[in-house]
Amino acid sequence: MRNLSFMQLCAALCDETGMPAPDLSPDDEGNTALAITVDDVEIVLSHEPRIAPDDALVAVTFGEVPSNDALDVCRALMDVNSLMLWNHSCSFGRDASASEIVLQYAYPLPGGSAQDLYARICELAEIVQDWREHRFLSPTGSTLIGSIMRSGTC
Amino acid sequence: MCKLLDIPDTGPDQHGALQVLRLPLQAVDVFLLHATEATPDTACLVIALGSLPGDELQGWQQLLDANHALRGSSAPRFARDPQTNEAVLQHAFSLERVTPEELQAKITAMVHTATDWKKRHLGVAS
Repeated sequence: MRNLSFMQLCAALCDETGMPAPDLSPDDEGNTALAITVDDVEIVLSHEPRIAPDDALVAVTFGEVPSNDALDVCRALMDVNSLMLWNHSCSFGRDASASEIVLQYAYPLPGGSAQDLYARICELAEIVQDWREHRFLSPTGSTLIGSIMRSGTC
Repeated sequence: MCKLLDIPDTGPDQHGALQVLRLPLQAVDVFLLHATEATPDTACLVIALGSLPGDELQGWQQLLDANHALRGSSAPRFARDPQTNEAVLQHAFSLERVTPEELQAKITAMVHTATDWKKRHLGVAS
């Protein structure tokens, strides 16, 4: 497999999804980002050369934690983090500015492909929809995240 | 790696399918885990941080916020041990791609993060 640059990955992903190619000019710190939406789920792909030069950083927004069940939901998300121990860089975090839960993942650019990444994103979008309805990941969902992140990337 | 960390090399213990090496460092113990059969190319570093003090919900939210700031494949992540309800700091890495010096640097960075967290939240000096 050839090694992709982040720009090449984004261009191929836009081809894959039929999105028009966006302007991917780096910011002052050299970081680049692309936002795509799959089934009402926002996914941001970014490249931060100073932090992770060989990774595309994937952030999948799950949504807000409901206030009536917040402790159990947060515990459950942190438990999934524990279960994903072996999946290198995959974890749930919270964007404090928006109070939204975000699944973060570093997709290795060496050996990666837009088709492979898009397939993972589509599977994740289904899991997000399930979480938004139930606020807990089903055992199948937890296992799926692990397998989606693990396969072929570690 | 033990030589670099200036600790005795006691060798790992076998816990079921896991090989576990305990590294006693400063105020925390670091555990190096390796599932030789299931994930032969991957090992994990784990530090137990203990129970969350004060408002538990706020504690988990703060650790989720911290995870959001920890980006890339070289950063550790916070999690919860479901059996003990304790916070843990963990990091998995590829055995094929790490040198003893890089592993030492990972461990040192994790110990720093863990002792800083304990100092801030539990009042434990490193």
